[in-house]
Amino acid sequence: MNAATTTSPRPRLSGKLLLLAAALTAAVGFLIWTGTQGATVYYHTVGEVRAMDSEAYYRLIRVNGIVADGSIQTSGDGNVINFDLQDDSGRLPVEYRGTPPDLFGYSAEDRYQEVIVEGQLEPSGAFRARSLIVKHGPEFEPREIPAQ
Amino acid sequence: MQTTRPTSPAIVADDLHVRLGQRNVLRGVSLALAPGERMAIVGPNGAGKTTLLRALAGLLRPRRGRVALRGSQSPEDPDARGGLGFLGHRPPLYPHLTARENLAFAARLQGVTEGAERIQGALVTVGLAADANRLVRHFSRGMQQRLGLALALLADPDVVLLDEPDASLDSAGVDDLPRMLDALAPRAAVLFSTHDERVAHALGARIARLEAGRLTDDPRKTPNLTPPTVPTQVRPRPPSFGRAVWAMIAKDTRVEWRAREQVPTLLMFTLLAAVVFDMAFIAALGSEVAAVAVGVLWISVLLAATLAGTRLFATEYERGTLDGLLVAPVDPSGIYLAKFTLLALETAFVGVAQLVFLSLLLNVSLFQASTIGAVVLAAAAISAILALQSSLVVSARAREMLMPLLAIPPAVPVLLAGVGISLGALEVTPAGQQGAWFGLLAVVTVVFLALGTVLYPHAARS
Amino acid sequence: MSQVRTSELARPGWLGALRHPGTAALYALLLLSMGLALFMAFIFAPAERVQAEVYRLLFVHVPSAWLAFAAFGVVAVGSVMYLVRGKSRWDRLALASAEIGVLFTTLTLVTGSVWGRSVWGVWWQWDPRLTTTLIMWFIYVSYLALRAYIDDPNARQRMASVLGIVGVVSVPIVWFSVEWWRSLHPTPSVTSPGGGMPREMLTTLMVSVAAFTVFYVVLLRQRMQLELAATELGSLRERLHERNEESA
Repeated sequence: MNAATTTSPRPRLSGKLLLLAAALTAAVGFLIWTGTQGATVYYHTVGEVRAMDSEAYYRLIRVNGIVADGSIQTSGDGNVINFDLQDDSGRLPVEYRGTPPDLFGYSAEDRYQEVIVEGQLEPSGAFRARSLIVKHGPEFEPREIPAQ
Repeated sequence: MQTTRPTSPAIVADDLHVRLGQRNVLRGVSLALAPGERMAIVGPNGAGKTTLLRALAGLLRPRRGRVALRGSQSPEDPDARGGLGFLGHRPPLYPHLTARENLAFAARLQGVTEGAERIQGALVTVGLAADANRLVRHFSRGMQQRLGLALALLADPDVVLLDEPDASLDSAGVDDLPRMLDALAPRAAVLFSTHDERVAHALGARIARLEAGRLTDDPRKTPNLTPPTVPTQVRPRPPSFGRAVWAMIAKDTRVEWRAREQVPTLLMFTLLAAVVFDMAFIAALGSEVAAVAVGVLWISVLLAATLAGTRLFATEYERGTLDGLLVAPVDPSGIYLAKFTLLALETAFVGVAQLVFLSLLLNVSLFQASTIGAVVLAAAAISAILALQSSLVVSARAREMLMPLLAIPPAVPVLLAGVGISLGALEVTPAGQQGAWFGLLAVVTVVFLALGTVLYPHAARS
Repeated sequence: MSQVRTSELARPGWLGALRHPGTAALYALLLLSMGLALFMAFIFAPAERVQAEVYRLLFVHVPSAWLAFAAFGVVAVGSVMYLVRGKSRWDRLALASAEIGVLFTTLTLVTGSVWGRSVWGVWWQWDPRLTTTLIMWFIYVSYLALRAYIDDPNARQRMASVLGIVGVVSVPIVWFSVEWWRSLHPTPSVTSPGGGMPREMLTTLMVSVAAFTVFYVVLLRQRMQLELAATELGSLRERLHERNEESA
């Protein structure tokens, strides 16, 4: 009577779950890969911006780097700050107008400070930042460092 | 491989308990029907007749107890539903299809071979031969009930469950019921509910009384296990998964073609969005054209998909046709995949149209291969998300309000990718870095299709 | 049958719940651990070299984030178990955990925003960690909304379970966002190689996490019992209704 071959529902369910697991695994692999792809990143490195060259002119981008030691210059009424953003590939001069965050420039004692600037690269090679964000790493230290 | 011996019962319910909300509707119902046997469930309103029939059809999952159809198969197994004819208290009919088209769709879902002859025979038997090519929305309640009977009995089932088959039939129709059953489902075990004991007698059914969720005076709980007198025939094979999905997509496309409930309105909606934003931001403020165009494109794709997605399952739910799909011998995941395809097609169509509108109205070069690809792939991704969520809100209050809240958060990656690709196409951002965005769209589509395939069957059955 | 497991809240008086020895012990533990965590966060832990006092937000921000992740994990477990077993208690677990998870995520977002204003100079940035956390918050708010909009309890539990499983996909994405993508937000201090903190801070953080865990358990129990009491009330009403009908 019942000529249709019947597969029990169990293996079908696990087949679907296998499909789901495969999809999720592929998704994780893909998401890790996107971290290296230019279009999807939250910020660029100094090296990437220098390599983009004219492609980057007058586009709103974010750049991450270390504030070069001793490069901070405050001019005029204190509203214009010039400094160099640095990574392994070289330096990018930055001009920022506005009030800097409280923690900016706290790079004493050979400790480098990472910042992210948001703005536009000009053909002159200078980066005009409209916002300046201090990036703080995962390290914490007590205030009183014992004198070495 | 399993064959049903003629002496094993066609329908068995063993100590069924069903709870709906706070109410214990069925409180230990046991019954058994032999092949070819007929039984009438009578009882006052609210006794649980409808609930019992829905539990037997696998539309409700019992809290306790067991249902077996055709030997030993649970109705949750799609193959067990291959021999099941079910008519709920509302015939599962599509008003924008003709009587014949409704039957043809059911035949494809049931895997009925020689469908055309069988359909013609059923139409003649229930007395609708003259109205076969009329749209069902012009049918009276009684005609709809006749068509519903034809649907339930179409595949020569061996288990038939009918919820008040005599409802809204004229007296001639009620008198005709025994003949319809004899002609279309001669071998079937028939369990039906009714208020009218004369109907039960006319059909030669033994009577079981259901009161407050319990059977009171069923004389014999064990069935009369005499083999059916009619020779058995080969059961139609349930359709392959792909064929069933295709049948549902074709049905939905035809319904939309006839009813024009979604696509024309959505086209007007996107055109309006383009015009309004154009006037607000460019004509009035002189903003950057490219940014405005990209914003309008993706907000209209998202909102169009949300509007259409809200109705995706709700329309079938409200018309009672969702039950028809769920009792068909098809894995319910197929329903999700069919609805996903329909929504993706509609959204992609509307999105591509918006590319044309924006290119013309705002004079931007949005109509490019990369943006068309992005719209199509994003339509798939959004639809994979929305088709699942649409199935979750069918019974929710104010589902139009709820849907955007559910839809937009998981759709954010899709919008990011869409905006990323379009900005690249318009050279607002450096072009040539779009691979990652396309990949993201593909990944969202695949992940949600997998989630929907696994989870929809759980959302579908209570 | 639900009468057998009468909830503690059904006892008279609002202090009734405390008469249960397990509950009383749990409350005592909560009071103790929270008190200790507060003392350690504000007095025991030293000020930070760069951030001075504001870094103390760490002791709220990190535990609430971790507990939010755990809570959403519990939502998924409860949802899967509900779909497999069909027992309402699993759905109550998912509901209670989702509500607390949303509460803890809100706390994480608010403390993070205040902290960001002080360290980064901005209240908010569309950085991967912040953005994904906000999306996760929205997903679970919509989970609670879905529950609120469905009247039929069976449908509500089933649909919510499906969404509770879908939603948990967001948790690993939020967690790994700082590892997978370039982010403004620091990687976890405790586990990442470049990070670290002096022992006093680490101990304080761990005590805070413990206190928040106890807080989570207390809230979870309370919320589940409340939901059970509401369900019992509903079925008692229904039974009364049935009895009235039978006698009529």
